Amino acid sequence: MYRKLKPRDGSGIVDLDSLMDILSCLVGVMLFLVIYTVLELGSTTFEAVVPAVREAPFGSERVVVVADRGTVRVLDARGPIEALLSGFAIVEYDEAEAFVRESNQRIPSDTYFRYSLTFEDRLTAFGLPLGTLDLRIEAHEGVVGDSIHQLEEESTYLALLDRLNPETAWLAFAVDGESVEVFRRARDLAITRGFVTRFGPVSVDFPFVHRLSLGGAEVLLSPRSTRAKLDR
Amino acid sequence: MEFSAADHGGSGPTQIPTWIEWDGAELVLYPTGATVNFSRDLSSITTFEATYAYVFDQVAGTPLGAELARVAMDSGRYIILLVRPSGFQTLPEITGYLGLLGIDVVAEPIDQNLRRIQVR
Repeated sequence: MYRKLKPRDGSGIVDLDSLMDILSCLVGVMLFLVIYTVLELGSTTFEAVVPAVREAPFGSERVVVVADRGTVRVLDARGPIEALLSGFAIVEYDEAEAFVRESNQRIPSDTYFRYSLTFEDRLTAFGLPLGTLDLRIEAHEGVVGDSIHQLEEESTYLALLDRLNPETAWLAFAVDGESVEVFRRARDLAITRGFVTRFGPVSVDFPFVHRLSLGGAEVLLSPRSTRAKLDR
Repeated sequence: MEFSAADHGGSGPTQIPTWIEWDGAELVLYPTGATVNFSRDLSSITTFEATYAYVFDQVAGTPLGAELARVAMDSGRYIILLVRPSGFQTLPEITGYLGLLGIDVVAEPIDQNLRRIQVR
């Protein structure tokens, strides 16, 4: 901007206008550099590979990986269900409630969750007895999963994966909006260990109740395949 | 962020992905950036039948609709659906609609604040 110069009268007063101009220019240049740097950092290029969808091995069962609140937790209900339902096949209807009471005394538990049964004795619309058997899954108080920074060789997640066999288990990731990043890292680690994985945008609230009767156990562990055409 | 599709391997025909983003309010076709906006919340539509009819009405006659038609007619193509968390709740509506068209879909979550998406 043009500014008319004041005539110097030689009285000894220091004129700082030129200095102010220089300082203003410097501040402007620095602001430009800061804005440019921020924009450049925001546009750093990352690469992400969308993995190929593979079919789960025949006869393998679903193990859920709960990716919520920025952490991952492995939820393998196979062992607890087997422990809780051991001997249930020979139980008469009238004995079911007592069986559930006794079964719950075993209290199967793992790193993150504890499992129990609930039985509800009710009648159908035609007055016939229809008991429903549910699996109740509760999260241990104060036990959190692995964050993305903890998903290293010594993490609980990898230790639990090492106990699973990719031929008999596939991983269903239940992912909430806060956990996309940790999910992606956990999935990569699982794929390198040979696991088939699936993604589901699901928030799981605990305690979580799942119906086991009327084929519910099969739905939990071996859900109907939703594989895409390209997998067939 | 730049996304790429992993090779499916095997000796079968090559599968070509079409990239679409869903954030709960609009579908964006990549790399052209053609957009279809949904003014109604899909989860508020009571039946899947009505939802699919609404999605069809919005998509029909757009570049995205033309691309979906091309994918549906070609067994060597499928869709990779990049889903932002704001679109998680209504993902079944979108995948259901694409499934109705006979299109194979692979859903992939992306961060809510991700900008400058590139695909190859």
